[in-house]
Amino acid sequence: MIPYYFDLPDLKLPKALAESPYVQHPMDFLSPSGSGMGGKTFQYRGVPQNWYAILKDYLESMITIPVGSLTLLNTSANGSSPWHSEGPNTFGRQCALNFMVSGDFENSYVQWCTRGDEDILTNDSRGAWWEDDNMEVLAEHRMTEGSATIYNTMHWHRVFNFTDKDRMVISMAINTPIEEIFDICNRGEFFK
Amino acid sequence: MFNSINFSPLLLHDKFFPVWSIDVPYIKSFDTSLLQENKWIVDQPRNILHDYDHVPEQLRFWYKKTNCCEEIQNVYTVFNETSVLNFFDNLMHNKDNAKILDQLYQYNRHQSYKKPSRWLRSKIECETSIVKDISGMSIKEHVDTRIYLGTFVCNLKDNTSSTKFLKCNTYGPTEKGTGVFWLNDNSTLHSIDHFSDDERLIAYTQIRFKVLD
Repeated sequence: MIPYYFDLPDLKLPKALAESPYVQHPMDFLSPSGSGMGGKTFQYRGVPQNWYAILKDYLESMITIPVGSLTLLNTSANGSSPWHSEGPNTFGRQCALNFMVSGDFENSYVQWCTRGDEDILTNDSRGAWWEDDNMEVLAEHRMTEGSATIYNTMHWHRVFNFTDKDRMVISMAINTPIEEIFDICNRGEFFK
Repeated sequence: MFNSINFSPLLLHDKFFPVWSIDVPYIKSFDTSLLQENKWIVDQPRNILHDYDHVPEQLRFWYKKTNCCEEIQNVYTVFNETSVLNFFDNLMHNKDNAKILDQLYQYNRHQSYKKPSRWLRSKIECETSIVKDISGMSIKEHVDTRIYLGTFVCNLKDNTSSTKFLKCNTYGPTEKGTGVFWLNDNSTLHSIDHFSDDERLIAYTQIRFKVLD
């Protein structure tokens, strides 16, 4: 649902990755404060080395747009992310190609909201916030197991995972507006 | 003296590779014998890795920051947030470096910031650690997660190993008081292997965006 997300049912999670157990990358433990992953319930983790190689090679063989940085986003069971934005100012990206690799596909989801008249190109310089459960939700999305979705990360969004499973998503950065990526798809030029 | 770091491109033939060699005068005269053997933190891995089976042997040790002498405190001061922001402004004063930054982060589309430190102030946190690696310490190639802006690694002694950058198959310098600074990007895929019997001693500063809490 542009401008918030669109599904890519034809882009499948590589079988080799799905069948490979998750082993946390040692880079996640390189900060003695424990804050190297960003937050407690919503964490930016390193992609396991074998997953990284499998996915990078696969995406480079499948899609025409540049394969950006890969990050593993972990939302812990019974947890959420704050409302946040990841844009070109502090993240060098405008949208993300996401695969959910584990979690409760039915009951965890992402929501987008607005705070009114704000320039979404600079949302990511304004910081995240946890409160305001009564925000007007503009869109809500549940991932499909084994398939990719492109998320607009510049609009305010949050992950809700009040389930009994950690939600893990591998996320590839794209520094192009989601509308342009959608057009590339519609022209049949997204896949090699 | 605490506020001095000299930067030069790690790759002289590629001025747009976002890795710089650093030269830190204060560290050149730092006496590593001031580091006390009983102040290296021993992991309690089960507390960290509570939900995973794999518990690696501890090969990296962090130095306790409490009750350090002035000379050791000064190491942290060299790389504290105020210093890092100043270094960053100096580094980005060079037009080629500013171009690198602009390609990675389009932070100044409205010309809101006169210098990068104005943009980064209140958005980043700097965590500096004194680190000891022992033989076997190895972190395979990886790109830092996207909450990282960049990282400093500075040798506290003449080390025998250093960070490897895979794109160009190049290592950072190993001499005391030198090191590397890199900006986080796909091109700065890096790794570290320390397999010799000596201890590797570094100051290690992670610069992260404070985005979530």
